[in-house]
Amino acid sequence: MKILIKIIMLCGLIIASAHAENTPVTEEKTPAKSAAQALDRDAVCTRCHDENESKPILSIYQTAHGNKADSRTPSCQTCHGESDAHIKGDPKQTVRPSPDFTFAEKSKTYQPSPAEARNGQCLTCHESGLQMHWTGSQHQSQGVACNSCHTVHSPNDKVLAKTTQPEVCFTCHKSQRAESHLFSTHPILAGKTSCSDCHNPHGSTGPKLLVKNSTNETCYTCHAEKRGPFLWEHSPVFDDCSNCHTPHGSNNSPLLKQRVPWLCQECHTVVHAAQVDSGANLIGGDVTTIFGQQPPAALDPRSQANARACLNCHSMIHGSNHPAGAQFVR
Amino acid sequence: MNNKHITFAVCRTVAIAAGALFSLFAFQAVAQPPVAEDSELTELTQPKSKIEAGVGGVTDSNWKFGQYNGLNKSGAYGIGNFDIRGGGAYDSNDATRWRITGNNIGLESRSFTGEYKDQGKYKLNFGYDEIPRFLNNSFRTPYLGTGSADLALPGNWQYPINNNMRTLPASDLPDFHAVDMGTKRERIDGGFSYFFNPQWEGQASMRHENKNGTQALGAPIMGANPRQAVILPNPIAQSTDQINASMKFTGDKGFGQFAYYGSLFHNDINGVTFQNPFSAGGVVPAFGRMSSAPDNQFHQFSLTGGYNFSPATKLVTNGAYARNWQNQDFLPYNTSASGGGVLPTSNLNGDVETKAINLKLTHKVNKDLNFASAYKYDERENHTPINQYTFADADSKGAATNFRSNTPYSKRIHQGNLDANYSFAQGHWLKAGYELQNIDRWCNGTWISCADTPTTTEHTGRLDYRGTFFDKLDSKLGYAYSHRTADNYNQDNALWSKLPTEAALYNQIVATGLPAWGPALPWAAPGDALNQAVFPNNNPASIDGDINGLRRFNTANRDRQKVNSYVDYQVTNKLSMGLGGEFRYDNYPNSNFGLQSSRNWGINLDSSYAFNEDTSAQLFYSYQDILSKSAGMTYGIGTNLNTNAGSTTPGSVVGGCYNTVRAINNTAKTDPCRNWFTDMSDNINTVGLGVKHRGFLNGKLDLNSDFIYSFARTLIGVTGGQYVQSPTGTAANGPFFFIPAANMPTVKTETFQVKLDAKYIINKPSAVHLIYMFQHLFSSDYIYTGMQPAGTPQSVMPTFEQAPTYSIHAVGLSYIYNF
Repeated sequence: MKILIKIIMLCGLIIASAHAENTPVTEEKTPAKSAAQALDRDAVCTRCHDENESKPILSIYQTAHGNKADSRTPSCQTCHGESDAHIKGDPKQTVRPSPDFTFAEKSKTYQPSPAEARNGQCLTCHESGLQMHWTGSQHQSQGVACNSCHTVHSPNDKVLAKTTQPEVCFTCHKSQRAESHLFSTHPILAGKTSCSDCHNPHGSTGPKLLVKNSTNETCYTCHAEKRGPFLWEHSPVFDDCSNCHTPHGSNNSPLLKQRVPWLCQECHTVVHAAQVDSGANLIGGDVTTIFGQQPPAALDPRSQANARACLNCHSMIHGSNHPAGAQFVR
Repeated sequence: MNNKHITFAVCRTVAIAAGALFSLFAFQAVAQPPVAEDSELTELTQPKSKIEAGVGGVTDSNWKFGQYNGLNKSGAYGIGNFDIRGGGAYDSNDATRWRITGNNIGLESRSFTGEYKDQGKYKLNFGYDEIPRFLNNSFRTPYLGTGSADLALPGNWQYPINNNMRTLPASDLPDFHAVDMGTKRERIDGGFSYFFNPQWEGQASMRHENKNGTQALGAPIMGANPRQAVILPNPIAQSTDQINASMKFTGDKGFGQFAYYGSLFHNDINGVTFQNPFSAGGVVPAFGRMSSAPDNQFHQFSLTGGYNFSPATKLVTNGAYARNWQNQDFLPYNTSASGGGVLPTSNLNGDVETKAINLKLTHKVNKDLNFASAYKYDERENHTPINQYTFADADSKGAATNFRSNTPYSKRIHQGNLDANYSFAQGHWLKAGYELQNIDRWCNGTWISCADTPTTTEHTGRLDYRGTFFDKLDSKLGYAYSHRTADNYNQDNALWSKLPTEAALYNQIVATGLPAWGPALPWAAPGDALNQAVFPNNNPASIDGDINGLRRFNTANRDRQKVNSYVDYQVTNKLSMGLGGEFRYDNYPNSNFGLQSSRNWGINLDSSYAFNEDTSAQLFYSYQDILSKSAGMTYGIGTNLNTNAGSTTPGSVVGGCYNTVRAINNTAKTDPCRNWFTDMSDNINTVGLGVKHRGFLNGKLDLNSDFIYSFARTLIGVTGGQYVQSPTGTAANGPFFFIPAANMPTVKTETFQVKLDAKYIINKPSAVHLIYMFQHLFSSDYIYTGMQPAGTPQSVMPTFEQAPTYSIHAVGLSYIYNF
C-alpha cells in the first residue's frame, strides 16, 4: 500500500511538472482564422495533389483530421514534413525527391519512411489516451507503423469499424484468422466482438495487449457474472481464464483448450475423476458390453465420458455461491 | 423473433428508422453547406451518407447458421442499413460533425450508433446493440415453466424404472418438448467528452446491458443411484452496468489520466428449483435447487502518467486500486426440511482487493539501439471471511456428511522485463529480452495451504530477428525459452511419497500435527480404514486426496519453448507471397500425472495478386496442430476395490494386477494395469480465396467473391484400461475383467462458405446490391450420442440434442441511396 501511494505521488508529480513546465502559450485563434490559415498551408500540397490525384487523398477532409475549424488538426506538412525538396523539385530528375515523411507502404514511387519516423509524426498529437503505453509495446518493438493498420486519408478507416477491423488484424495474426472459423467462437465474424474489445493494439498494462491489467479483468467486462467472489472458488478460474479457455476459437465448446473430462483430469485425480474415460465407456463400448458378451442394458456407459461429461453434475464450474456447492454441483 | 419473419416489431423498427431518416434528410437539406462548384472536389471532401433497404431470405432454419447473426430461421428478412453524416464543411468555421449508423435493422443482431461533436470542444455519443446467441434448438425437456425459476414436471410424468433414464416409460417421451435455447444481450451505450482547454479533457461513459434467455445447465440430485443429474433449461436474466470516467491531461512533455471504472452485475434469478424426475420423493428429495451467479460490484481507480525526459527517454507509470464486493444472501443448504443445518452466516461478505502498479522506462541510445525496462505488480487479495459449512449432497434428505471450509484464493504477480533492440544494419533488427515473473498464491485465514505451491518463478529469455531485404522481402524469426519452477509443490502430499508399513504411515501422519479431517474431527484409527483415509476426497492432509505425482499444470514446473517466423515477399508489383510458422512446446518434467506436455504448431501461406487496379485476388492456407498429453491412474477405483480388502480370491482378477488398495499403496501406488494416458489433438485446415473486381459493364458493376473452407478434427487417443466386475459376479470375488481403453470417435467439423457480392451503380446516387451466400456445416461429435435416450447414461436425463449439420442458401437484394 505504501508503495502504491508513492507511485501515485510520482504520477501526480509528473503531471504537475509537465503541466507547470509546459503550459502552452498559444495565440487565441478564432475558428475562421484557423481554418483559413490551415487551408493556406494545405494549398502548398493541394495545388498539385488535387482532385485529379489517382488516390483520393483529399478525402481526408471528410475525417476528423480534415476538420479545419478545429485548430488542433494537422496540415499536410504537419504529418508529411515541410518537404522543401519535394516542393521545389529537381529539374534533373524525372521524379521529385520524396517528401520528408512518406507513409504509403506499397507506393510505386517512394519507399516508406522507417516505421519509427512515421510513428513519431502521429505521436506528436496521439501520445496520450489509448496510445499511452505505445513506446516499448509489442507492436512498437516489432516495427509496426500506425499506418500499417490505419488509413488516415479515408473516411472509412477499416480498423475503426467492428465489422471490418478483424480483417486488418488478420493481415498479420493469421492463426487467429483460422481460429475464427472454428465451431466455437466469439461473435467476431458476425461483427459483434472486435479485436479491440479485448486488446489495445497501441499498448497496455495487461498481458498480450489486453485492455485491462489482467486476462480475467478483461474477460469480466463482458462476463461479469464470473467475477464473484464466490463462496466456493475454483482455483484455475480465478488464477487465469486462459487456463481452460482459448478465446479466438476452438473445436471444443465452449472455447475450451481440451474436451471435458480430460481437461478436468489434467488437475483432478480424486475418486471418479481418476477413472479412465475412453471409447470403451461410450454406449456400445466394451465397458458396457464386456467384449459383447453382456447385454448393453445390463451395464452403464460412464456419465463422465458421455454428453456433457463432468459438467453433467459439476456445472457451476466457474464458482458457486450455494452453501452446499463446494463441489460445484449446486 | 417468432415464425412470422417480417414481424410487426421489425416493421415498426423500420418505420421508426425511416421516420428518423426523413427528419434527418430535412435537417440535412437545411444544414448542408453550399455545394462547391467543382463536383469532383465536392465528391472527395463532402461527407458521404448511405441508406440501404431491401429484403433477403434464408432457405433453411438452423441455430448454428444464425448463432450470432440472427438468421436462425428460414424465410424472409428485412435488410436495413444506414450511415448518415453531416455537419459543417471542412473549410468552414463550423467544427460540428455528426453521424448516425444502423446495421442489420431487420435482424435480431441490429445495432445503432450516434455521435455529435463540436470537434475540439465536446462530443456526445450513444449506441444500441443486440447480440443474439442462439443455442442448440434440438434441446428437449419435460420441464414446464421454462423461462421461470421453478421447473415442474407434467402431471402425467412416470418415474423411470429403477431410476434408470435409459428405460424411460414410453408415455414420458412425448413430454419432452422443444425449448428456444439461447441468450440475447441488449446494450445501451452513452458517453460524452469535454475539452476544458487544449490540455484537459474529461470523459464519461456508461453501458447498460441486459442478458436474457435460456441455457442448458447440469443439475445433480440425490436418489437411489448416486449423483443422478438432469440438464435443466436454466433461465438467464442478468444485467451489467459499466461506468467509465476519466480526466486526461496532455502536455508537450507529459500526459496523465485519472480514471474510474465501475461494474455492477445484477441477477434477477437467485436460484432455480426443479422437480426430481427420478423418483417421487420419500427418502430422496422431491425437488432440487441450483444457485445462480450472485450480484457483484467492482470499483477501480487508476492513475496513469507519462513523461518524456528527453526525446530519447520516456517513463510511463500506472497505478490502480479496486474493490470487489459480493454479499448476496445465501440459499438454504437444502430443499428438504430436514436437510442441512444452520448457515454460519447469511451471506458471504465477499471482499476482494486488487492492486496494480506498472512502470515502463524506455531509452533510445541512438538510432540503432534502444532499451525498454518494465515492472509489473498485480495483486488480487481475497479478504472474504472463512466459515465452516455442513451439508448433505445435492439436496439429499440424509445426514450432512460434508464438512467444508471455504478457501478464498489470492494471487500476487511480480514481473520485471528488460528488452534491447539493436539495428546492426539498415533495415535489420535484433531484439533480446529477459523476463522474470514471480507468482504467489495463498488463502487468507485457512488452516492449511489452499495452493499447491506458494510461489512459482519463471525466467524467460527471448531473441528476435526481423529484417528487410532488397526492400521486397520482410522476414522475422523469434525464439523464446521459459523455465518455471514451483516452490515446494504440494509439500503436504510429499510426505506420503514413500510409504512404509501401515503403522509407520499412521505415526508419520499423526506426527505432522495436522488434524486429518478438519479442525473438529479426529484421525481415523489405524487399520484397514487407514488406507482409505490416505486418499479421501476431503482429507485435507493430502490436499483433496489427489495421488502423488499429480501436478496442476498452471502451477507445475514447466519448460516452454516458442518459435515464430514469417517471410513476406513482394515478388513483383502485382504478386506478393507470405509464409509464416509458429511453434510452442510446453513440457512439465515433474508431473507424473496430469498434463504432461502440450505442443501447438501452425503454418500460414498467403498470396495476393493484383491483376490491375480494379481486379485482385487473395489466397490463403492455414494449418494448425495442437497436441496435449495427460496421464492418470485409476487408483482405488474398480468394482473389485470398493472395499479396502478387495478380492483375495486367487485368480479373481483377470490380467494379474493387484487386488487391493493396500497392495497398491504398499508398492508406492504403481500399478501398470491402472495407469492410463491420453493424447488429445486438434488438426485444423483452413483455406480461403477472395476475388474482387471493380468496374464491369462500363464501370457500373463491382463484384466480390469469398470462399472459405475449414476442416477441424479432434482426436482423443486413450491407452490403459480399467476393471469391470461381471454383473453376474460378486463385488467380493469377481470375476473382474480388465477392459482396455479405446480411442474416442473422431470429432469432425467441416465448414464451407461461398459469398458473392455484386453492386450495380444505376446512377450517381443509386445502386442495387445483391448478396448470395451458401454455407455448409457438417458436424460429427460423439457427445450427442450420450444425449439420446438410447445413449444416455442411466443417471443422466437425455436432452435429444443433435449435432448441427446444414446446407443453407441466403440471398439479399437491396437498394442503396448515396447522398
